Amino acid sequence: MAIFLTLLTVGVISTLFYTPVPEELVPKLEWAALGLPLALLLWQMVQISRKGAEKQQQDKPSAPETQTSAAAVEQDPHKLQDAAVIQFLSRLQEKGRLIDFVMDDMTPYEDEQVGAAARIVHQGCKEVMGDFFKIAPLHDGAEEDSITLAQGFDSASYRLIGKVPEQPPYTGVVLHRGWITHSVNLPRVSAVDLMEDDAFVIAPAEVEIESTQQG
Amino acid sequence: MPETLIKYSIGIDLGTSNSALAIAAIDSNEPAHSVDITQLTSRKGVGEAAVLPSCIYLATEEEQKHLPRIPWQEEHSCRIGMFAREHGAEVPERLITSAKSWLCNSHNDPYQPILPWQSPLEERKISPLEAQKFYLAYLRHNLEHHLQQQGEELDLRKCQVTLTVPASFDEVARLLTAEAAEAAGWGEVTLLEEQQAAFYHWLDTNVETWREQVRAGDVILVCDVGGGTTDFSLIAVTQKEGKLHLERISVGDHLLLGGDNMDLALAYTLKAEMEQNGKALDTAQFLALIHACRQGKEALLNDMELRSYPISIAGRGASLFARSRSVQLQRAHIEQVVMDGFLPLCGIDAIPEEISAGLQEVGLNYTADPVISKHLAQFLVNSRRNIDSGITLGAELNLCHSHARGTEFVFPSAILFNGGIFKADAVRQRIMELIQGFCPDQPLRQLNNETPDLAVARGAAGYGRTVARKEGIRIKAGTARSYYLGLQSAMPAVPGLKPRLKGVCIVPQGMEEGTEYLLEGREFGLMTGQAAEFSFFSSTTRAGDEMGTELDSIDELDESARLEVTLEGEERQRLPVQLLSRFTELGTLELWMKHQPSGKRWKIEFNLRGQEQ
Repeated sequence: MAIFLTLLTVGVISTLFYTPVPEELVPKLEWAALGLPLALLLWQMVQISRKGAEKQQQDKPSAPETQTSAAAVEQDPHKLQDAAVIQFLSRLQEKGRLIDFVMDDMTPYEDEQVGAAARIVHQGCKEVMGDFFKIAPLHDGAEEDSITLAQGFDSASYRLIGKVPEQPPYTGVVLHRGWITHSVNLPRVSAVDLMEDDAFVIAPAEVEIESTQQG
Repeated sequence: MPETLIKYSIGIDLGTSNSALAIAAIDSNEPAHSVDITQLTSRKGVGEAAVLPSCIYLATEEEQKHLPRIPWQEEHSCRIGMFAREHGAEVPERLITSAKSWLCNSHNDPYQPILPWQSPLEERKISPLEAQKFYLAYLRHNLEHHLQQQGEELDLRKCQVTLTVPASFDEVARLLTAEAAEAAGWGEVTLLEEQQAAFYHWLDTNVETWREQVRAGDVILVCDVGGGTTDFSLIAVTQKEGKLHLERISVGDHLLLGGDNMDLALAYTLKAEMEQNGKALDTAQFLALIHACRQGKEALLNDMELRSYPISIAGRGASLFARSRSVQLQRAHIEQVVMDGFLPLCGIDAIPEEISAGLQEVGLNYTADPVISKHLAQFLVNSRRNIDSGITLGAELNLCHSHARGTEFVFPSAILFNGGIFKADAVRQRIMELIQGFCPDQPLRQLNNETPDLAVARGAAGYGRTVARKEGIRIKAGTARSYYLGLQSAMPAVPGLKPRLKGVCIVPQGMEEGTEYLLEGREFGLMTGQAAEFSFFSSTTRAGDEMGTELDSIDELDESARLEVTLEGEERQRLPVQLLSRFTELGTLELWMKHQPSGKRWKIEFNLRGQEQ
């Protein structure tokens, strides 16, 4: 369910980048585009990192430092979950400048500037998504298709709205095709990170050093 | 170790820009599969990818504290892989790339710590050989780790390990690669040419049908354009007693030219356009532009309907809206820069331009002429020269004569493409068109390679399985070059005139694995306890030379490392010795001096101290 909802939102955000949006709707859509995915990504990351935490505890009993980390995780499994989400955000920022996009004030800029920025976010985030997930539409047909869902249909894959009777078969129109990921390949968060102060750093400040000092 | 105990065949593709690993179970007939490579994917995460970027980033002490650890790495100061490539691009003095290309650079000693090239961080530098060792050790740990996760231990005594090298590598570079593998804990590895490995992969994936897809008389061009290097090989199909045989009959020169050059050329073109509009780009923005150009190039090549690909480059600060710049990568850019710049149609007599300027910066020997088409044409002409000089095959080959220009060359009947840029149909079509143009009335076809970026590692694993099982088809190859000793001609001394060197063939081209030859009729009187030096040359176009063939001049030969031998002995005396060359089962060349009466042997070492030009 979590994955379904998240992907739906991912779908919404990428659709937003591509569809011309009426002027008066821009502020609302901004909030939808920004708030929804972040909240849901957060939730999904929590789910996934919980699995990750279990896995890491299972298969890393060897090195002494991971043992202490595993102990730390046992004490506070939330920390690892938080670190996993931050790590994912970090990647979206690094490649897709997502945090810059969301945190900046959009109002003073022309659509052209917003569009240029959106391309960076779209391209980068798409790359990150492609690295970590294998995302495909859930419903094979097109949107606006008629559909009949018989008894025993996969109820996790369809959200029914409108006048929904008590029992199938349900007949209706596909409004949104939905999204599914066929695999999840998230980078593992090193438990060692939890011991460090930088666990909450999403993107470090960048400093360019002009010349190398020889010592 | 009896062969029957071999359990796995492992293939390693140690690439100039990317490396890959594949494994095949000996008792299975499935094609080899790739082993994912665990690596630092970003500043905060560890993940898996099918390839490992061959980049080393020298992390500062502070950074080492914060970077996540990978499951096995003990050495934290040198980080390898995706993170190294991405982050290191912005910190070039700490980034090592293309270490492999330094192994066949005769002007630098591969044992000297010279990388990162031109970095002021003298105390952190490592040698090209050590960098190769790092990658190889990393791949070994990775395999160990992945087998462990499946509940298995990596026992190299039960593995046939095949490591690929470019066909154009000379014996010295091959030897260095084998040495790095041994130092990295792989033990003795078998060397295989990358272009042959790609062909073995094709055989493996067409096990049922390959005999129908080729026929006697075919010559197959393996056209391999990687990120930073280009290599060509020709494989001939012949028939003996009703059976098909394969023989690698020619290899090209090592060209430091590839797909990355195209991305770079596109990026420079767009950079110039952006700067004309008053938008200067800094280093990081230019790197982002190169990356975007690569994606744009792929998008435009894969979808011919697409007219342009929009690119936005972010400013350095946090404000994305205020500082982003846009530019369009147009189809015309692809046509002009990639197709006409690197892959134009040309005649068979086209000759690549050499650098004419007297002074060239010391460094990697980047190919001067970026036109891949011309190098390909030259290769087909040189191959013909090589074949005419003495290869005897069991079938008529498709030799072609260009009537208009009077140039003789080999016309391949089929092409096997390998390397990332050939994922795009348009690029393959261009090469087909180019070669068809050399000989319009002869048929030309394409052999299918679904995975042009992983075929080499998989093909190497497949080859290893063939070796371990002692069954299945092998490509007859042997040494790709012939080798020569430079000897001074006996002539009266003339002031101001250097005595000319003549060449004596000591390793004929195609010398097979597991054979040795004695240089008959020529004795060297060497003093014991004193180092003797010889100059050493090679050629890819003199297949006809046999052991002992004399060349009046060494002008057409390529210079290789010098040879050095010291006959150890108690008293200083002059010993008559003979030269013995041996090409081992593992694919490495050994040269020995042999004293016939006593049967004593001394190994001749390759002297790799940088030679001055």
